[in-house]
Amino acid sequence: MSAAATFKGAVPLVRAMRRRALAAAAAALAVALAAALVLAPRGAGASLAPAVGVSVLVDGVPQPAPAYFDEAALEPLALALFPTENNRFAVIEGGLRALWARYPDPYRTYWGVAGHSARAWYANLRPPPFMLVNSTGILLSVTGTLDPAEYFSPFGVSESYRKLMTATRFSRLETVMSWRDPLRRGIVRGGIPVVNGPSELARQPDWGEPISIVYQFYFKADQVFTVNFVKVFYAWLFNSEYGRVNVTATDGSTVLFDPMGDNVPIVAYIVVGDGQASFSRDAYRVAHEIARAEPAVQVKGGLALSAVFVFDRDVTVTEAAVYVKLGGGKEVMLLYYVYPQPVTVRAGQPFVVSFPIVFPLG
Amino acid sequence: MKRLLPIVGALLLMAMLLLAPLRPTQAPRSAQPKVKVGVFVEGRILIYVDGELRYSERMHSFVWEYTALELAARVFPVPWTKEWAHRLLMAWGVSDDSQGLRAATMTLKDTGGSAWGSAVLDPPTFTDTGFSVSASFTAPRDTNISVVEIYQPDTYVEFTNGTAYPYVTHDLMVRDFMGSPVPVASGSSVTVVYDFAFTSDQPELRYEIFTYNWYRMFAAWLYNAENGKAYVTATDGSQALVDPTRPTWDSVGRNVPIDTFIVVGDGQAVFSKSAYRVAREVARARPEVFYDTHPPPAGSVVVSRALVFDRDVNVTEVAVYVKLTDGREVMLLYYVLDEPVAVRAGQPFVVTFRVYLVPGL
Repeated sequence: MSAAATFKGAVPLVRAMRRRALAAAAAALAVALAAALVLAPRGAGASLAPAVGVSVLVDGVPQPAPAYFDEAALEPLALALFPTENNRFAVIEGGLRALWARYPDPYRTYWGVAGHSARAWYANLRPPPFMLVNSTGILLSVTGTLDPAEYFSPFGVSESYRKLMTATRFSRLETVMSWRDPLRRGIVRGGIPVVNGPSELARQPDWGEPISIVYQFYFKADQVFTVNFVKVFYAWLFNSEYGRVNVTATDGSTVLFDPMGDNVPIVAYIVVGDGQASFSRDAYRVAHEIARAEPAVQVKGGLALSAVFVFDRDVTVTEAAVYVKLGGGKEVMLLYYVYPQPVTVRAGQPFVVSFPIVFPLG
Repeated sequence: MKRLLPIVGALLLMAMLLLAPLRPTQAPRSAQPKVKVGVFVEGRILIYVDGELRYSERMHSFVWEYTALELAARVFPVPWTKEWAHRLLMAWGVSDDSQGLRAATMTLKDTGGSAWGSAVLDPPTFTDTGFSVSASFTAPRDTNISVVEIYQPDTYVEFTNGTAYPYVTHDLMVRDFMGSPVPVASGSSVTVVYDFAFTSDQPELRYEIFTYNWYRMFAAWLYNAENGKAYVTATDGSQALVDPTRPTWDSVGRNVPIDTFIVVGDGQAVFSKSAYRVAREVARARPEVFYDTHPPPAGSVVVSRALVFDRDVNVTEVAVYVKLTDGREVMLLYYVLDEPVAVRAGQPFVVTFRVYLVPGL
């Protein structure tokens, strides 16, 4: 029996239930592809696949209508957080997108909260990030306030006009370098939608009153998501001087993750270890590293990082992680998983590690 | 049966009234995620001629359309307001190398619009509800007082972002038209007094929310000059001199607000005008600061922020702190909630302060 294992973040329970029924087919497929047998986590600690949820609150009131990630945001997210030799110079939308701000730009602080399609209002989301950490996940709240002057007019605003604020959209500003056209070497600034919706607000703005807009991202999984990851996600969202955050490097030191500087990811690794590991949201390295590899990054319908390891000796894998190396040279652990049971991998057998993250896409 | 219904209803009502006081009054409220309070700038203008009160009316003073912007930029600066207020952030106070007038002044005009008197304002006199501003004149001829204006001194501002264009301005801060002109005989001594007061938009609070620190900071902002210096009590209990003047035209004020925070506390709080910090701070965040210039004479400044706590909190107090150039912090606005508000971990809690530059209730 193959001892190779695939970690699916934490593989869905339903997959575990189907495993026995599909064992023969799976084994045949595994042999045919020289791939691994899926080893599902067992016991009460097993969780669903890591997922990132999002909700919107207006003036503190949760909006019943759902909000979704925009699929267009996933590729820039993957490229920025998990660069590899293969995707580091990826071309998207006809130009090389400078994934991090790098340039001081006062206008970069603007984030969109749109109203009607014919009329947009903008709220700037502001630091600091508010994080709530517990055993089921990490809640990241970013807040902004809509200027009452945006919809307040000295000439009066009709009731119907006031009620046009019906939807929200959250955009991240990007810098696009038009490198393909040598005559247009300038920098083009634009925004990409990150979160769409809710499409209908439960509450209309009061006359002349500021409107609080809160986006709450919930990184839900018993394991996988570390505080470091959520901080870096926040830095990616803000992509400005206000996105600077301190993270803990794998050597235990505190480093400034800086969207405006060079201390951003330049290469990502999947790391496996055989140490005496226990998961913690504040973990910043694996207990004992035995191998690492640059992952393949897929963004279709979600985000997944995976790598195949082949060892030259028998090993017992207890932990897997995703590290990123920053421009300043330090490494930071973003995702971390401790296997509920050690996995024995024999020399020469492929061992697949995969970190899939589910995003709600509309 | 129908006759019994009113009697039964009355008995039920009486029972409810009797039981009502038994409800716990200090139990935290839940599901109220926000606190909104407002401040009105009230006041009266008083004109004394030869020691006799000749005029006393409610003021309607702040007429310049950018007054609210100046208040927002100077008193409640946050890093992101530099985008729209950079030049005004630099406009805290007259610089030492200024060749112009170096003090706040008051000007009197007659019905024809001619200015017949201009005098340097006396330093502000602080009271329990605000402060008084006064200036004294001697009438050069038989005339009248139809308009009273207060000007800040000449100052330099930076007009464009990134490029310095020194510019001499002369800020009209206050203008009041007399309901009926006050006649003044030649040689008469005239004293004009503004009594500024601050009231809440919540009738049950009236004069609560505003600390003595706020009076002093507002006066310093209004004068924006040497004669507007005032001592405030910092959050560490020390006395800090708010000094709007600046060494050079391209520097900031010697000791003025350079940063702003909304502070939330859960302490055993009791409001006092002399309070200089919250009883126990649990969270803080820089607010969004807006200004509303419409329709003059009016305008307001909004200081608002949603905070999210990492644990359940019973909020008892909210405040606005500003950080001064010398690093000390000063509490300007303070609001003790009538009942604690229970805020769950992860639940946004919205705090909004609004300062209206108009008379209120």
